[in-house]
Amino acid sequence: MTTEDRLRELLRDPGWSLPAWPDAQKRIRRSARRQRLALTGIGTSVTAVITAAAAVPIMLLGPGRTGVGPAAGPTPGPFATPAVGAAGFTAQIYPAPAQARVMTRWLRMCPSASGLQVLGRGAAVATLSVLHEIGQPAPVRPSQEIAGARSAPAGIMQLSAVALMQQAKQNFVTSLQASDRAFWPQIVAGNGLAAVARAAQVPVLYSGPLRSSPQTFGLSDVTGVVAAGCGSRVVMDTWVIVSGRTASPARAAETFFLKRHGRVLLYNST
Amino acid sequence: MPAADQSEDSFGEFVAAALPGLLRFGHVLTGDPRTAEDLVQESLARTLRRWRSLRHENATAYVRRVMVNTHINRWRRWEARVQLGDVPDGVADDPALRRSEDWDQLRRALSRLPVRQRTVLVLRYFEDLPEAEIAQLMGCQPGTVKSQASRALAALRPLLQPEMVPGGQAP
Repeated sequence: MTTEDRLRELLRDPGWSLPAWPDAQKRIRRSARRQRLALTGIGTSVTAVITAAAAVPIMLLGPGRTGVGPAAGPTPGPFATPAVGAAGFTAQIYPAPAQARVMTRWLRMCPSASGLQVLGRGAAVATLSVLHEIGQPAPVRPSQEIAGARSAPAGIMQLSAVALMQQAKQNFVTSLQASDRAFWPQIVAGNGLAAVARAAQVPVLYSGPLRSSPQTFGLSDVTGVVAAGCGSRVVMDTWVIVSGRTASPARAAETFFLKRHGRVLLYNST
Repeated sequence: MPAADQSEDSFGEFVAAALPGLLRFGHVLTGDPRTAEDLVQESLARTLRRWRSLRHENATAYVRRVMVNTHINRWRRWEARVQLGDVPDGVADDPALRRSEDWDQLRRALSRLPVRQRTVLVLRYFEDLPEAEIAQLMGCQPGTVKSQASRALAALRPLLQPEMVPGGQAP
C-alpha cells in the first residue's frame, strides 16, 4: 500500500463522521437570518433592493463632502461619512485618524491619540454595550424582510425596499456614532460590521485592558501589531473584548475600544 | 404549490441528504468537530441565501467550495499570529464515535500542518479532485498545489509508513 493510499484510507476512517443535527433546518435558517442582518447594517445585502428604491430621495448626513480620513477617498451617496467637525460628530470626539505606521491586513488606520483616556471602572459594561449597539442593530421586521426577499407585488416590494433602506441608514449612523474614525473605512467597506456582528453573537471570553490581557488568546502578538502600527499610547488606552464559544482560533473574535473625552468608541474588530 | 415553498422543500431535502457528508468533510478539513459544525452551518446558510439561483444538481460541490473558501479566509485572518498547537485530547475521546488509533495519530499530524497544505491533502485524497480543480478552488497555480501536497505528504510520511499498516513490514 502506498503512502497516498494509506492517507486516502485514513481520511475515510469512520472517525471523521459527526452526528447529523436533528434541528438542521432551524439552525441553518437562523444562521442565514443572522448573516442577512449583519449585511443589512451596511446595505450590502440590500443593494438590489436599494436599486429598486433608487427614486427615494435620501439625505443621510448632508452632502458627503469628505472621506473617512487621510487614507480614504470620499464616500458619496446615502452612506456618506461626515467630515471632521460635521454636525453631530465633533472634532474633539471624532478627530481624523492616521494611517498605521506598520500596516497589517486588519490594522490599516489608527485612532488619533488626542483626548484618549484610560478605560477603567465600568468599562466592561460600556464596551459591551457599544459592541451590541453596532453588532446587533435593531433588526428589520421579518415581514419587511420577507416581503423584500420573495416575489411580491411591485408596490410591496418598493415599500419594503424603503423600510430596509431606512433601517440600513439608521444602522449606519449608529455605527459611525459608536466608533472612531479609524474604523469607518471598515464600516463603509462592509467587513467591519460583519466582524462586529460575529463578535456580538458569541459569549465574551475576556474583557479588559489590552496591555494586561492573558496569553491564552494570543493577544501578545496583537499588542505588538497595535504598538508598531499606532504607538504605545494607543496600546495603553485600548480595551479589548475577546469573544467566541471556545478559544479555538477559527471561532474567536477581538474587538478594540478606546475612550475619548468620556465617550467609549470601537476602533477595530477582527 | 408556490415556488417559494417548493424551493424551501428542495433545500430541506438537500440538507437532509447532504449533511452527514458535509459534516464529515468539514471535520476532515478543520480537524475539530465544533469548528466543522460551525463551518457547515455558515456555509449552508450562505447556500440557502442563494438557493433559488443555484443549479441544484451541483449544490453539494457548491457548498464544499464555500466551506473551503470560508475556512481559508478565516485562517488568513489568524495565521499571522496564531501558533498551531496540539489538538485537545477530549476531541478524540468521544465514545459515541468510533475512533482508531491510526486515525487519531493522523488527526494530530494533520492539525500541525499549515491550513493550505491540509486543505490540499483533503481535496486531493479525500475528495479525489484533480490538481487543476484544486488550484482553481484555492485560487492558486497547479504547481503550487503540487508543491503543497508534496510538502504535506513529506511531513506525514513517517506516520504513514508500512509499520502502521496491519501486517505491514518496516523498511
